[in-house]
Amino acid sequence: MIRIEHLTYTYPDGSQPALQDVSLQIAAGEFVLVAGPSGSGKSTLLRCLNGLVPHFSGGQISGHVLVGGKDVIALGPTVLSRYVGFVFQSPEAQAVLDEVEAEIAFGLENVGMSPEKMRKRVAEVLALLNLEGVRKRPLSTLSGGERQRVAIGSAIALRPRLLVLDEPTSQLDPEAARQVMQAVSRLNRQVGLTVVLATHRLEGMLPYADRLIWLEKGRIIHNGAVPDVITKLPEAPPVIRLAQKKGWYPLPLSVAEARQFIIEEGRRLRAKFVQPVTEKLPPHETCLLVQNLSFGWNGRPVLRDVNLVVRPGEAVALMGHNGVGKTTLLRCVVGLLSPQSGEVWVNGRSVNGRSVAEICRDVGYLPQNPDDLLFAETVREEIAVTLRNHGVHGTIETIDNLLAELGLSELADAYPRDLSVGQRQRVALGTVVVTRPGLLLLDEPTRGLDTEARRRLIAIWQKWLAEGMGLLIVTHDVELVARLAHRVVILADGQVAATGKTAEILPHFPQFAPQITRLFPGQHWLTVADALTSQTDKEV
Amino acid sequence: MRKLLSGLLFAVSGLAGTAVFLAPFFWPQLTQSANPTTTPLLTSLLLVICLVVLLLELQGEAISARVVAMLGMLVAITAVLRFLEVAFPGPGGFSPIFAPILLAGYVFGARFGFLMGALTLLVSALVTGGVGPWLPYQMFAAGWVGLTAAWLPHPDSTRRQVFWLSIAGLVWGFLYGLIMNLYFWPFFNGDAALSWQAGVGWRDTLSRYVAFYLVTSLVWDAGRALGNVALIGLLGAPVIHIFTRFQRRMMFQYVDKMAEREVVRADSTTD
Amino acid sequence: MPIARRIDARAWLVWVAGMLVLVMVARNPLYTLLLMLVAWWVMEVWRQNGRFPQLPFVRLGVFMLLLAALLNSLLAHTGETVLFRLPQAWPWVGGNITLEAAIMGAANGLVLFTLLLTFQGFNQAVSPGEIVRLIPGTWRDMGVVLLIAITYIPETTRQLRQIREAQAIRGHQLRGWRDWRPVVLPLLVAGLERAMGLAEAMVARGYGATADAGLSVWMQVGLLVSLTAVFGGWALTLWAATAGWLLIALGVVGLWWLSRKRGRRVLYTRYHAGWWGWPEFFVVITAVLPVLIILLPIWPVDYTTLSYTPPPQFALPAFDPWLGLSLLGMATPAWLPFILRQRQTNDSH
Repeated sequence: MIRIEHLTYTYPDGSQPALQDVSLQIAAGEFVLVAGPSGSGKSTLLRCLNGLVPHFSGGQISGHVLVGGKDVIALGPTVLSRYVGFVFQSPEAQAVLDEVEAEIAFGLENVGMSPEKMRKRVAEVLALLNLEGVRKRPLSTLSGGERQRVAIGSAIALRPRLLVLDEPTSQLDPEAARQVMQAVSRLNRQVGLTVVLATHRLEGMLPYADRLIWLEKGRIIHNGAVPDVITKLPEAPPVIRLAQKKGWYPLPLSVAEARQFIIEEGRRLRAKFVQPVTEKLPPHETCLLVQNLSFGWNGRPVLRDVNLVVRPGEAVALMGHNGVGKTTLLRCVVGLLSPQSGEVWVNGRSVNGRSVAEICRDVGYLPQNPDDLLFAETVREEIAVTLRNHGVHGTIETIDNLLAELGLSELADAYPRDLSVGQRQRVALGTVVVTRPGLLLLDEPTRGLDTEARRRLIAIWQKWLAEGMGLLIVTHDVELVARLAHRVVILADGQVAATGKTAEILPHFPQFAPQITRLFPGQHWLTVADALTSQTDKEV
Repeated sequence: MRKLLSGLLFAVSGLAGTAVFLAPFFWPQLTQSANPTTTPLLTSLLLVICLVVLLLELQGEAISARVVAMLGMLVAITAVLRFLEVAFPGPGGFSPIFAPILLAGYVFGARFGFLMGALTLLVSALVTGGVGPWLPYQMFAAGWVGLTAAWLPHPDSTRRQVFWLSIAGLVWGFLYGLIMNLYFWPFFNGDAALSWQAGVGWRDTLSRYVAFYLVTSLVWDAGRALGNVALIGLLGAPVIHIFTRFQRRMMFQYVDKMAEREVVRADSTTD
Repeated sequence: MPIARRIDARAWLVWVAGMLVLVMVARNPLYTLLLMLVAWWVMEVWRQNGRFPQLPFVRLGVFMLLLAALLNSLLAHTGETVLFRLPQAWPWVGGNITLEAAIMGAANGLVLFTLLLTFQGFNQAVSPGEIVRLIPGTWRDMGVVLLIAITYIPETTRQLRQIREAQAIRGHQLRGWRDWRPVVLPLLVAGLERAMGLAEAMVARGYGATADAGLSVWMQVGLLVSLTAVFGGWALTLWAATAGWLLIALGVVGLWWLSRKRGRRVLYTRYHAGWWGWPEFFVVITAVLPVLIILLPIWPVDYTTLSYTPPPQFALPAFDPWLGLSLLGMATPAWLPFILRQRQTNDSH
């Protein structure tokens, strides 16, 4: 199906090749995962499969790429669109039209298919992806998972033999990601479509794949069956690491597979129920105190009687399904929305009657998309703007110290938009904490970041926590919660469903729990280390 | 040859369009028999024909997906900025749509500028419910705003570039009002020293129009002109910077050294 | 009442064109009033389709009439029913202020208001997507530009809100012009980045598969000749009307033929075909008939009632009931939805 021989490619502005001497063969019907840190060449490799590289990007290329016997480099993406369907990362930036069925038909219109045939084909695709219910809906009203499935539908409408997906789930919450992966898997198993999927987070994807390719700096480092490659990687999902330590064989790739081994070990899987406790604390001992907060849009309640506490030096994770009001709560805290009732105290002062700008001098709030914050010509200027906005007299040292803390000293004069996602996230973080607030609100701060970028951010937050800053994190990233959060607040239907210590709460909510917690429902373990130490304790 | 013809097409349709705009000045002086009531409709249609020819010619050079996507997105952004106009009214006839059109034409060239101008007006009319016989006039005038921006000098320093663009913004601020008024001026059919009247000769018509313009529009248009200058002065430099960065990526065309183009053609027609 | 069945955009275009011609030609205020009521009715019925917030039309209409009357009475001093006088020394406005001039102005205001209502009805009834889909294949690229713009306007609006919030968080306040920079620049960069991504997605889905190189030289020459014919014809109508119109027609046919020829080289098909049934047919017929009646002076009606120049002394314009009746044909799109709904409920029983 795919044959790549000695492929080397350099971007027009690149100083070194993005891909170096890559050779690869993929058989028809295979499901191949391409993984690696950001900048390792995953996207570039995928774009070579339909000719977007080099036809769209320019640059120097050598070697051969054959897909289904077609010479990709010679023919280019427009011709290859018949044989290769391509799905991109962002669900928002790949739709041409606003209506689901029209969007799916766009590719068919481009090749001049007859209307009757087109209607049949669209109906087929809708059925295959479970989208019949939304066929007439505008795309802007769909959820992220539905939109990404529409993108897949648009990609397979021309009946390609190969489906290529570039990080299709990195912008989605876990539930939506699962839907998308199941849809892709169905296409692979039932229709026999060859699938090549790039990702930087392997968790939850391994069971679907036949093969795993690990890239680093434009080279293929590992290439083989999933169990063989995964054990060689530096950052494997927790279940794998545990299984390796315990020597389970054959290697379980998911929590469900791993459970078999635990049952064999004769463990009892029983959950104990922990009653959620509501804490009562005077405002002056807290960074953030939310009391009986209620908020609604057009008469529809979003938040009802929410109570929440964050103490200095404490990290609290706010979890819940999409649309449950997590971001709304953050926006209420900083005064972007005014709640219908209830009160918010920041550092012992009520936010009532204070302007957003005033509140945000005491609260750092990092919104979901860091790019919304960046507009200046240099990183240093970007941070200086916030100081000027607040009318705070900041010296050059203030900024330099912060940049050093964020690991951005060398990039101080760079154009912010040129930086990598992880670096941009750190610049954005800098712009909201330069006033040294006592409380930091983070909205999905690790979305779309690779392991390395995530590790650096966590280190920064841990330092600030030690210095007494309070953190409120809205996230779906369960491993981040396991590593950082002291307590978890679960929001459901606009109300606080449960709150308590991370290890005590998560076992009751498997959808928000890390793999290890799900694997041992009765225990209060979050990480591989927890599981290993506790078990050795018991065995000793 | 194609280049020459293309330029000729631009010139002829530009002249013809201008003639349509200026119709009130020379039309009635020649004859009394023309039925003045049908003229507005007819002139709208004539302008549509001009636009059709121009768009056909502009589309002639195959437009890449990048240009199409870029145009669509810029038009969307400008249309959204126009909503702001309603929320935060500026002085007089100020409208934030001209600065982006001028800047786009300046950096991306005449073709892009014309399309950007004409299509921006079309889209904002479609989404705000402003479709009417005035639309071809607006599209034509705004298209020329973008087109002429490309003709401005392109000095090296960004500050000088912003200076030239500000001049263009100032001039077009008044000019746009001046020629858009022409569209409805004869239509307003009053009978005084300020209004259009059939057959009074172009001198008289001109002096009437100048009087009309001074009385009704000067202050209004001054708002637009100064607004353009302010907006370009404020955003010109960073926007030129951003546009230039994207220009290389947008205009890039892959030249395939390995395969003949004929191969591509042959393959695309099979299946 | 919700609209049971939409009417095809092409039929709406014929209706709008008909209204335009009638409003322009029938300058008798009584006919204009009739057309205004018809346009209002149509707009009211199709407002249920509900795409745009309702403008305060009653106030707007009264305002337009009064303003036009005021302006015209100040500037035009013809007529014998003098209301009051302004000193002659005042430039332009000095002289007799007459009832006739005010009425003439109001009549013009009425024309403008009717045009506004007509287009408002059209805008309510037809979605931008439907209009764009009417663009012939020759302009496929332009059509896609428009579709992208319309698709991304809601997205861009949302992004604008997010950016304003994000900047507010860093203490940014929108006080003056200068403060727009941090909002507009991220919006622009995000939009352009998205355009690049979108372009990739379009190419990956076969966009431009059939686009060929530019216009051939003979087609350019053809365009040039046709354009010259149209405008030459326009000029010629001054001296020889028939010959002029003939030349215009020739030029238009030439353009049409060239664009068809060009369109056939752009290979693409449409997923959404329009719908054309008896309601569309009916709308077209009833819109074309009044135009034919008014433009072809062969019917037994009083054509002199069409024009109305205010006499020196105020008098009611003449009115031909048969002509008025024919104008009511334009109201078809207003009552048609009632019948369509009736049929639908009958069908379901």
